[in-house]
Amino acid sequence: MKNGMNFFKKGKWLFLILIALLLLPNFLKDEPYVLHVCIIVFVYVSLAQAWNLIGGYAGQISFVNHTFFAIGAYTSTMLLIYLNLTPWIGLFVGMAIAGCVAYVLGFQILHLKGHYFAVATIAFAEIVKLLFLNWRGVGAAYGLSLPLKMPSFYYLMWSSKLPYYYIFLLVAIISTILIYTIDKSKAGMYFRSIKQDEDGAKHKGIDTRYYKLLAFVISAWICALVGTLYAQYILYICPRSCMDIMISTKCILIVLFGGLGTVAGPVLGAVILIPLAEYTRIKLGGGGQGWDYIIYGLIILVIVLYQPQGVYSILRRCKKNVQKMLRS
Amino acid sequence: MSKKCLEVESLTKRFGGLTALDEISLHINEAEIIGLIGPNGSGKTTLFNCVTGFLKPDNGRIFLREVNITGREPHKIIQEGVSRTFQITRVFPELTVMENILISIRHKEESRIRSIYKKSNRDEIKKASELLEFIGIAELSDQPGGELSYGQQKLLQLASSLMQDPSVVLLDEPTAGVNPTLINKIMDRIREANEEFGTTFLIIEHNMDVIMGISHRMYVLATGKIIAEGNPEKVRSDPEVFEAYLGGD
Repeated sequence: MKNGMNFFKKGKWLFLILIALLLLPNFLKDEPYVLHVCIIVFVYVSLAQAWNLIGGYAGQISFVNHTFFAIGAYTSTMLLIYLNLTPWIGLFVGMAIAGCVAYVLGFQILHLKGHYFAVATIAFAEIVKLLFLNWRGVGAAYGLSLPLKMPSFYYLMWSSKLPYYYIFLLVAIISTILIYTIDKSKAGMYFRSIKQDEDGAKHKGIDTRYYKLLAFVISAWICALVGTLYAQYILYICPRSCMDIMISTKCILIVLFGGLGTVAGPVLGAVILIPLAEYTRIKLGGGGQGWDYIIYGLIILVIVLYQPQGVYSILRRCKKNVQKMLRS
Repeated sequence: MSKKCLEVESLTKRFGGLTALDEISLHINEAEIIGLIGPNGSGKTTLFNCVTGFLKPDNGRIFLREVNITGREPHKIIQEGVSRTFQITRVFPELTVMENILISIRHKEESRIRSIYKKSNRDEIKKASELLEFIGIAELSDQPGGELSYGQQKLLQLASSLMQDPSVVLLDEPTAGVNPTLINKIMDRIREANEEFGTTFLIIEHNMDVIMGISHRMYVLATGKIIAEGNPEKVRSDPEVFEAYLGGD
């Protein structure tokens, strides 16, 4: 029984999952669609972790994360088109610009409480979207097609999906480790205190404005990073696809579904919801009946109504029960 | 003559036409326990809010150990060494009891950017455990703050306010809504902190027996003015105080 107990220790589980994820593409050589779904899952794991930081930990409901995502995508693409600059540099420029925008925006609106902050972020996101829809310099509503380069590491372009799989996997792991580190740190404690009682946190001498800005900027960085890589993968960006508020909304759904303010929540949420959305779309979509959205929505509704702490809390309870069984 | 710890100089605060604080002047010496009493709505909590920077006074100055802290941002004033607790308890419900205390360290000396990966260090944890020991809820240290009873939350607030080695602690009704046994315990802890660590307290309290028993000196507020000052005996026998409470006119 002792071995059984050890098996449940976190580290080994994670190691096994990692090995499985590294080997997985070998079995999917003839299944590019499945590989694509995996990549989208990784994209949303990273984006949901970013939202988790500002929304789940610091408690600021942001609907502007997709704008940072788009800033990352547009910056590196513009640099690639006009200056023929490698996306590896564009990536950092995009992160820097997104960080600055987040700082200035956050400085102006982070003192707003609750819904007012959410509304302000929606307003800003829509303004940027309208701007990009009409700005000829960045392709306006037509969007931008990335110039096809020779497949290479330098241009972050490959003809197969495989390298993208590993890159997005890496980014998902990095963002999860980052959130894990913050979760265990003092800053994580401060973020949570701000979420629970902001004035109370101020009364403990915490510079709440600074920490909210910090969460917002880090969140923007992750989004911009994913945005650049996403543009390199899809090879076409336009305001309607990558400035769609549904991206932020999906992140929020994923985090709520998985478990708000937990490290595992966004991972679980993305791993369950994204394939589920794809599955319901394939099996039930088509014919314009919209069954897929109804089923998808119902599942989310059930979880939010009956398990507001998300799927992660169910798993934790199951684990406790299994451990109890093994012990007896 | 002992040194002044906190000094308030002709502080005025108006809310529209209402003058909540009218030219208040008071001072607290090092290692003193000061009682602040007065009928409801006399401006006691407003005074606390002005001292901690949550309200901007219209006039007057506030000195903490001879440093002018008037108009500074609240978190900066707290970081200078002013701790405060609330009338209705304000613990973080989802942080553990331990975290509720660890969060009150002196943030002034801390690197904010490094806090992203740093955890509370051993000294801080040791000190927090000692404080939990001191108020007698050490066995609850891993429980969420929200699961404590009201009285335990009051104790937790007190411990939390002592974490940063404060220059002065402002306690807003530390015994309101607490059973008599626990009231004695809380008062013993305050007295002990004062005697052992030399902590300075300014306490708002409606329970006259309690506050008269513990204060070295008292101030009485009524409709935004200080109407009496002095040791408990003197305040008790002051006719003006009597009138303020029972409504003269």
